[in-house]
Amino acid sequence: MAARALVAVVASVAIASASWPAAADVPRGEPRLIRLSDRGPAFLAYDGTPDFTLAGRDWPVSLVFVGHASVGKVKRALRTLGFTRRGNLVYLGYRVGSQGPRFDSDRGLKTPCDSAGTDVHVRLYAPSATDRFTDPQYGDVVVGTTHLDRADVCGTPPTMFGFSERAEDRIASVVAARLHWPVERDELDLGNAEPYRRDVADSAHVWWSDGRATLITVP
Amino acid sequence: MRPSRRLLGAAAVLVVVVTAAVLAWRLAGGGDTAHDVVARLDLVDDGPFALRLGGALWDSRTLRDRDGAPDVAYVTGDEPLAVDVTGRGGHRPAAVDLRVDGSSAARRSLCAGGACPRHARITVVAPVAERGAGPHRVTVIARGETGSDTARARFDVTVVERLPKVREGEPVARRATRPTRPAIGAAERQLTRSVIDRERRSGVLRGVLGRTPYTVEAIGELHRGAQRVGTTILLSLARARTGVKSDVPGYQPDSGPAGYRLGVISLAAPVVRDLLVDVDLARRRVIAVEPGPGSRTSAWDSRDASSPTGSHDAD
Repeated sequence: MAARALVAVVASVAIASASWPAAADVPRGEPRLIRLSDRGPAFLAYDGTPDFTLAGRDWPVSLVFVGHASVGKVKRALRTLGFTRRGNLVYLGYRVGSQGPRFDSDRGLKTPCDSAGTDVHVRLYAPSATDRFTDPQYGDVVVGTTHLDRADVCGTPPTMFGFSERAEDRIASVVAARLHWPVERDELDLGNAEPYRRDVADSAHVWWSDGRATLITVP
Repeated sequence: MRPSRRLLGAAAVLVVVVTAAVLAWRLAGGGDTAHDVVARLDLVDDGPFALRLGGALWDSRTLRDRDGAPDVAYVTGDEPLAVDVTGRGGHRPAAVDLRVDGSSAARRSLCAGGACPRHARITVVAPVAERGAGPHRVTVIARGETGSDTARARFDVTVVERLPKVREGEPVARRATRPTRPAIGAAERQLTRSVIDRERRSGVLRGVLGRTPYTVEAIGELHRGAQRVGTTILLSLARARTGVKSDVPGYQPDSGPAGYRLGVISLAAPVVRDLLVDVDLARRRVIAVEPGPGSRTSAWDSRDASSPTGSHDAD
């Protein structure tokens, strides 16, 4: 009993001292533009609404395609793996050189729903003018977010979105096994870690990402 | 050999001199050019007139990818638009019209003294900001002498009052060695597990989890905005449970002291492989049980209006 009481006290103190953004369901840190290398293009570490607000963030960037990547090329490859459905439009902020910020949007590609009514959703971003970022160190670059959708259009509720870490792992596995593209898991620290958690105000949105993006080299 | 080399050299010098003279003459306003701007121009129409556009407004236009998804930049003021028009097949441009959202916004005559040029390059400032925030369509029409020969281009811009603020970050690191600290400490983790184990023996988890062994796949904080409620945990069952039918707790967000309002949900799940369980640590109770992304459900019905039935959002 004494041990249980001590656990309860410690837990209560931890709960009372926790600091958290006032708004529900937002990233832990202020969204910022990041670059893969010193002179490379800058992009936001989260997608979401076409702005840089904390409340508008949707999913953390967790996939980085480099080498000879373009959005068209990666999407063509993913379609051969069964990513044939599309989702809703979401934006990712970016800036190339000294230009002002722009926001590229993508509906993404989704797998068919499995027997649980769950699909893998991946969105890919790069400037539409060139279909890719150009980074002096990493070559032609496309960045992506990914998550699982449960009971989104198909299946029986409860509906939930998220589990980005799991989705990233599934993409890495299938790309390595079937496309034979070199995959380096959790290679890049993008500073956008989102510990597993959710908010009762929007419990369908499940955050979970370790902040380390998988690096995939497109031949 | 020597005379022919001398001849070639003289010819090269002549070409350079003539080219420089022509350039100087054109830049000074001579010839068919009305005005010149230094800008990269993109060909947008190639009928009786080759129409090229450039400048800050053009650079800020909305682009579309192959799927038609927009790539948006923001415009905060009236920005210049460079218009370059060249007549083809004897056509000569007489005027350039600019429309914003279908309404005439500017018109430039290109002809002087009754003579229209074969080529003109002008810069106009499109009054888009005064139309207010939001998307606007800009139309450029080059008209010929007859009025029936035209070339046109349309593009969209998005006006905002001010550009969104953004913070800059450092270049990312490879193979970061940053230590990963567990989001939930040992005490909270132990308390969460003890509540779950109590509830699986004789409480709300008995029907859905029972004695089936499980592993904790992830555990984290449960909030109501800034208010900490407890923990949320993702359990992976060692073996799938089948034919599960059970009443489980669910909640709706609430402004009361707990941050939520409890309800009851009737669950039917042909296959349960994983479970999301929310625990109110202060009250030491399970407040939500949901089959995870690996589980198949066939019924998820609120027993009262306060119970959630899953988000109706689509992603």
